[in-house]
Amino acid sequence: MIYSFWIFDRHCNCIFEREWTLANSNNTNAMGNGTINSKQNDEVGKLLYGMIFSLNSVTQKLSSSLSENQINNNIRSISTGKFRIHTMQTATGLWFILVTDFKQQNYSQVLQYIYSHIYVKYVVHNLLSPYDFALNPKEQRGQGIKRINNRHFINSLEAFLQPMLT
Amino acid sequence: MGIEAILIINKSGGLIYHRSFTSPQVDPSNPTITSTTKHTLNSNDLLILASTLHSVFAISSQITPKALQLSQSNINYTIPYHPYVGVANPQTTPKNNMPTKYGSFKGDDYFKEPFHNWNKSGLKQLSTDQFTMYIYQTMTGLKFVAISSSVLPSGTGSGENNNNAGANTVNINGSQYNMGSQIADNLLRKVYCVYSDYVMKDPFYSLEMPIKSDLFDDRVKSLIDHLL
Amino acid sequence: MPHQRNSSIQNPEALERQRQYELFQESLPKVNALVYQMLLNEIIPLSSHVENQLQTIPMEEFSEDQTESQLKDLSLEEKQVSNPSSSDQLIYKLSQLADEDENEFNNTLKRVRDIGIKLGTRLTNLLVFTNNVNLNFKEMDLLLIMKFICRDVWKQIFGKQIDNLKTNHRGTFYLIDYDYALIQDFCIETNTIPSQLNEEVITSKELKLVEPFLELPVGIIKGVLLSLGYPLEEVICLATFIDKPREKIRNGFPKGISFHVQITKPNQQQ
Repeated sequence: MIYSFWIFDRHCNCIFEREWTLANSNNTNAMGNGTINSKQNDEVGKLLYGMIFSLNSVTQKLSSSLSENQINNNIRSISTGKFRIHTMQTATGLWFILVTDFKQQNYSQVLQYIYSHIYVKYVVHNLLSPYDFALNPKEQRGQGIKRINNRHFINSLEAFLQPMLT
Repeated sequence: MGIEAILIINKSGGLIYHRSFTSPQVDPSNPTITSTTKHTLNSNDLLILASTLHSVFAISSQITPKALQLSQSNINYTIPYHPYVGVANPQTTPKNNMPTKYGSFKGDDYFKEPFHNWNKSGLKQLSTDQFTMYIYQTMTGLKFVAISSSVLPSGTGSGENNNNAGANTVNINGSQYNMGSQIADNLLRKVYCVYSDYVMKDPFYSLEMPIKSDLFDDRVKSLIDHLL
Repeated sequence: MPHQRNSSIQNPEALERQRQYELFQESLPKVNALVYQMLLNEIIPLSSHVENQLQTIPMEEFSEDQTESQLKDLSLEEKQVSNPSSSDQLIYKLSQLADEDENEFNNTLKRVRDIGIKLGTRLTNLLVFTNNVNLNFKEMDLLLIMKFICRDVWKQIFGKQIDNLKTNHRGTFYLIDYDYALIQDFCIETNTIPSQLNEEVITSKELKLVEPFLELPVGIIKGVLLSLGYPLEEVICLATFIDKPREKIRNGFPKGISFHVQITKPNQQQ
């Protein structure tokens, strides 16, 4: 079961957010269930990113102590008693994050697919989408950002994740 | 499951015990925080690690997905994670059910019944490319942390180009991994038992302070040693 | 894989030439299609930017006696290139220009078209040079030329052939490409979630944004015709959006493209 999906850019801003609430599971309309890029989730996004960011910096430190070869030691998943957070960081500094229920385990392929087949196709290869979602190239602290509001992207993401919702 | 290190964090986020098992030549009589292993982490780093984990604990309850928040108010909702939401975790102790394969704990088993997981919304497990960290929280806010060298049984490496993963072909290897988490909880609960036996009963121990007890060290060591 | 068009392909000599051609095609260096398409697409924002920059430089500065000092002014260390905008901003700006400054808008389109024309003329020569046995440039009438554009030129540039070619046999042609490769992944970025907005408004805005991108293939068609003896002023070529047939509607761009080509004067060479 998937609860939400997030993308953070390299300025640490949330550029896409999708949360499924499942409250009315009878609702077959894909968009009717949950929210996309909701303002209410801004704070949650910051907390989520902050948590991943600080844990990642800790694990980077630990990795240098636990193994001799200095490969990057990125977080794959974080779990609490109730839910699990799956993360993928791209070399370009994007974070793809999927929040799922506690039980199911490995979503790295799912995230990889979203990145390579949906994000790259409909955002990177789409000249009408910005290259950088920050309004200002020197953006650092969330002064101004755009979100991915691109119906091709949203539709194909929706279609891809729909089977995994329940 | 190789345990690399055991940490204990007190309820205010301070590191009160750290023991690393990566090097076989650890001198059991001298397991101070800056112990003589290949760890390059200095005590300052460890303190940062402890306080980071502690603060993440507080955050993680804040980011509970809406779907979970909604379903909590209405218990009638039958959702797959229901058994985990609070009551008894379906974890059984390894003594009878899973004997020697995952670890014959030393001597008489410390407990023989399923136990309650107090750590409901806090951080429980952290998986990275190189290790897995398990956290067991007691009702009093004490956190027992185990760093294990086993990693997620992943289908793809992080940078690999395995793009054919459709929704249906993704292999979600659930049961095996939850097993690891359950075992870690069992182990850490035993560390907790040892803690209450050898630290709490120690009249010379002052609360919330670093633990410097040889007996406790020995017991923890033997727990880890028997875990194969 | 080239399609068979010559019946004489059966004789051994032709077969050998066909094989040589295929070997030659194999030996050519390959370019990643995505990168290539991105570069082609960048032509449009680039043209817009160039046009923009030219507008900001007053005309009198181009007078001859000042050329030297002007060159100095333009050099990078003297004058910072004014705020390089990103491609998407340039595209959005360009579509605004259509309403605000028609002159500059048309100049930009012309710039794009000119690039297409150059590309087209060169490409004809390139395709002649490749020794493709399926091509015979000696006895080409207009219809064959259009077929050449639909099959070989389109395949060469966009990786696919034109879907449909219609003609009235009197100099008017409709070249229909239902999924024109360069714009397939394009989708407008709106300020809020698309589902809250009027679908028609979005689509019309999106089509307006994409319009400049169609000038490139228009230029290419004109360029090919130019190199085969139809001067630019005798050829009218316009691109319009058309609805896709139902079975083609997938996740790609919502509209197909129809290129309307008209040869105004009967060609002298015919």
